[in-house]
Amino acid sequence: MYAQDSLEHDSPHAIARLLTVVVDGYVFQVLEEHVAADLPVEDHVRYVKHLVDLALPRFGNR
Amino acid sequence: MKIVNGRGLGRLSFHALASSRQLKVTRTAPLYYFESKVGLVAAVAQKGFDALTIRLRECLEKESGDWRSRLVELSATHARYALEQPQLYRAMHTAHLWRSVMKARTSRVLSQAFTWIRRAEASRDETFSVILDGVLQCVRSGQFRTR
Repeated sequence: MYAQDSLEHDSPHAIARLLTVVVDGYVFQVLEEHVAADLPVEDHVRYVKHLVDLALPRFGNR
Repeated sequence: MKIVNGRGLGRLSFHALASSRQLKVTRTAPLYYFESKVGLVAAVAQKGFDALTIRLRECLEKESGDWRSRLVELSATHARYALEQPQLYRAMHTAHLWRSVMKARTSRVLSQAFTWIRRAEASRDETFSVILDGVLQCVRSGQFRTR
């Protein structure tokens, strides 16, 4: 449970950028830097979901 | 897109296209239409972003949970698309296209390459607008407020 489900300090554009930065950054690490490159796609997807879930409330509650 | 997905960007060429049995046009048509490899790769990038845009829209239409789960699923769809088609996703990043443009030998090829890259970038911007739309849907639903 997060303290507040509010992103009032951040614009929708910034949040959308955050989502693309997390995904593209993660994909870059897997494809170009071969970090955990042998894992199945769905394992990576699960981890991306975890990262986005982590990033969103931190982003919104700063 | 099939050549890029299957064999990688490095194997994409007008010769490879001409040799492809799936080509439904004359062997010289791709060169006439795209004029340079930059144009060809940019067209692949454009198609790649268009397909990603469709997937993200479908995700937004399907997902009905709270704002966090909607945005998490949207990102998961994006990541899955990239990781399932790594060669295509690499081709969709236009930095290498801009570098290739610098090697263009004639102003005509340069101009044509710019046009194709701009189209790819427009498709990339459309993909971003769907992600932004997903955030805005959450804002409009009143589930969270933004500045």
